[in-house]
Amino acid sequence: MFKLINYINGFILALLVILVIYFDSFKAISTQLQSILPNSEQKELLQKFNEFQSTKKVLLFVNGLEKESLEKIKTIENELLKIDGLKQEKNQINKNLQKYKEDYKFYIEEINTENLQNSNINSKLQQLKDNLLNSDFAYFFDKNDPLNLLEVNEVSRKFSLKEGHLIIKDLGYLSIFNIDSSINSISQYENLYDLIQNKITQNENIKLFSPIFYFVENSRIIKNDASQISIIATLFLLLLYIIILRNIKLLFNTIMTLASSILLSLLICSFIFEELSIFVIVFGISISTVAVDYMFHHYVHNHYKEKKEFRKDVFLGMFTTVGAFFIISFISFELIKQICYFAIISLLFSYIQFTFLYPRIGFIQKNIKNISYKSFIKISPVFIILLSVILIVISTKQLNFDSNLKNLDVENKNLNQLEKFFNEKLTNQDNIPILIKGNSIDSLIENSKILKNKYPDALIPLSILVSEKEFLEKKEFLEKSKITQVKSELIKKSLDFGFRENFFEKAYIYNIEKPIYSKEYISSLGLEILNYKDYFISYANVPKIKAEEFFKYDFVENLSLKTIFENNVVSIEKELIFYGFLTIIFIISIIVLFTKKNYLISFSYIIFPFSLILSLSFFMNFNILHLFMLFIILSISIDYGIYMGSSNISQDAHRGILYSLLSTFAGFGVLIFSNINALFSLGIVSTTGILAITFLLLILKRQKNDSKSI
Amino acid sequence: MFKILFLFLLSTLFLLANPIKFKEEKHINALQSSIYKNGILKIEDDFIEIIYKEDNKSFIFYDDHIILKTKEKEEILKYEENIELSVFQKLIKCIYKNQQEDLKEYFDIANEDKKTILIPNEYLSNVIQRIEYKKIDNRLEFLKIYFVNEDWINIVQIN
Repeated sequence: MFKLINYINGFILALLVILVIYFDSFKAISTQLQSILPNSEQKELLQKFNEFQSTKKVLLFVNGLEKESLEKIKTIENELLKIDGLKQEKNQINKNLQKYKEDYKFYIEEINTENLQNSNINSKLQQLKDNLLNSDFAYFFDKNDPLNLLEVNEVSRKFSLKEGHLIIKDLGYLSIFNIDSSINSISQYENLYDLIQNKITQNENIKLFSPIFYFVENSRIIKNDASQISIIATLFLLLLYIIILRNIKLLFNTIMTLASSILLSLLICSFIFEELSIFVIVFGISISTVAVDYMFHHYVHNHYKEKKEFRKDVFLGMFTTVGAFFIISFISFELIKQICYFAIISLLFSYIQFTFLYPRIGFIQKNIKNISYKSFIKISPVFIILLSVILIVISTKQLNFDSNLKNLDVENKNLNQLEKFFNEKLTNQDNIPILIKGNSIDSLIENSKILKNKYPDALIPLSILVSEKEFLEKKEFLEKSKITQVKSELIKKSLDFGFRENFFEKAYIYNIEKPIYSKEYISSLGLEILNYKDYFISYANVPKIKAEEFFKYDFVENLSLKTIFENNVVSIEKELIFYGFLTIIFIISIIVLFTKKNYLISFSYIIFPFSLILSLSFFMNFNILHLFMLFIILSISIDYGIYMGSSNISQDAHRGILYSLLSTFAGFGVLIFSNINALFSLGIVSTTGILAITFLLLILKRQKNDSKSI
Repeated sequence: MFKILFLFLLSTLFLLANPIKFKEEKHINALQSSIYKNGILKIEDDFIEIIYKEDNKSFIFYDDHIILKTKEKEEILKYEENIELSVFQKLIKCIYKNQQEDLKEYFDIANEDKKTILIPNEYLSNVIQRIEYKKIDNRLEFLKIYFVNEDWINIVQIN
């Protein structure tokens, strides 16, 4: 007979699928590491930095300077130029910038005052004349400064030209392509990446690199890993449920409930957060399996067949776990917030279904496989607590915190090597990018100049420009100097050396209007600035070894994920301690209040997993996800503490706990197989926690009325 | 047919194997004067040599490097560090070996009144304004290089 209640789970799932598709909730899922950073000005600036054209380059290198290499690079260039959105950067010199440099030469370069005071015009003119007469081809000199009074900084370059093509000196041919500024999204990057990779087979002699490749490759590595882990977890869980439950109707309903809980969490979180880290989704799928505990406990106690009393212990378990997530969610750290919200929604939804809907649907308890074990040692909870305290004390001394967020990301060795290759071959030093801020364009230029003067090795595009203040100071200096007098002498004496009349007429002209900058004008010079809030920003590449010195300036923003993350961790340090402490108080209060005289047993289930997880510090550095997972495991293990601390513990409870543990391992433990450090960190902590609880089940002294075997 | 082809090849080989004598005038705008030099150009299979007898100086252009010989020393130069020599070598190859393709990297090529005019690309345009040459059969009537500083060099074959 058709009973609507039997299909309600299916209807709910279908409705959620429709809603998720309608609101395109999957769009909010991000594979970028930045998405786990709290929203901050630094994070926005990091995103803004990616808008600079300088980050949108594709570098192509073909080894060797032989004709074959030239032909090879030209063939590849032709192929790449067929792709929409890629343009080859020719060795063009920006004409406007060239003119600017000519016009403001005496304001950009420094005047060698010693040369100016003691300028030997006769010898200089003789030298010029000799060079003109003896050169094989034409001899070129600066007509603006024929006496070399300006100190021009020669930049040693690793580039050159051969056969009219750009080369890296003594190494091979190089091509630079610009990615169209309209290409900004990950999907556009992916499309471009695929088109490029289809055209080129890289090998030792052909190297291709672009910063955008990181976005695509890392994202794909994470996606593949996450899918593999999810598939393994799902298969493992299915197998487990089939073996344990042997009830197809219940199995399907459970799967539907879990799927619905994940979709509902995704739907709601996509409204709350602009971006959801893919880690949240993987973690969310794992946490949803914790909710299966609620089903197991109801099912093994025959709640789905007969009408029974409300199960306080299951409610208490759920309440503590959700409560712990709720407390932790107040920590202002994006990833933690996202995970907590996701988990709360998912757990509450599953609990409501398993507790109130499932008894109405009704499931007959099948012959559940009996697992027998005898506890061969009985250890008192006091001993366990003592051992745990010792472990905690030793481990805390060993604890090292790894604050480098990059260590949570994928280690893309291939791209790292390529980036290092181009970095080393194109510049003389290992550089890192920074952002420079200014209240106006003029102050942005001034700030760029401050850095350039202090660190001449840094590559600061905007430092080539002259600020208003600098212009006025230089003008005053030039007017007071004897430069006009030197010019008159030069014109007069040049005639004696046979130079054409008026040949030096255009030399040493410095009277020019002060430059007026606008965003458009700067852009016409081939330089980049962007608006951000009330100020302007530009970028620079500074030597890595001196990076710390740069960050002392308040107008310099660090773009390193590590630093942004560290700053955030520092800023939430107090919150982390406060809410972590609050969670522990909350958990202990629940134990004391609800397990009464068996609180030592319950407490063992908290402190022992905690100490064992902390002892991982002997083998690895702790990161933020280890710490986070530690609190989560505490909030999950409290469930077991509550069940085991109940005075009327039964064989069914043991069975429920054992199934829950297996299920939790299938959900969380499989993360240990992930190649991504972030997921592995969650996996190792949860596996250790689960092992600790299993260990306690086997060895901990139980209640008098506890059955010795199940 | 084969006889004609044989004769043609023989005459070309003979012409290329024979040294080409030329006269070079370099006009210096700043001094409003010109310098005259006589030179010899030898075109071999694997190198091109230009000899300035009065200066005791010669350039030997190989595929991957240049040798500069003077009375005092012999120096190996790289093409990538001597763009003007690199362009000059390509011009000679283009004129005498009909290898115009190589010049397309540097110039836009146009023909006007039996003259070939080369307008340099962005990179060379900072140095060279334009180049003109006229060749009748295999003989160079003139090759004139106009520089942006208003200097120019004119080369005329004299044998």
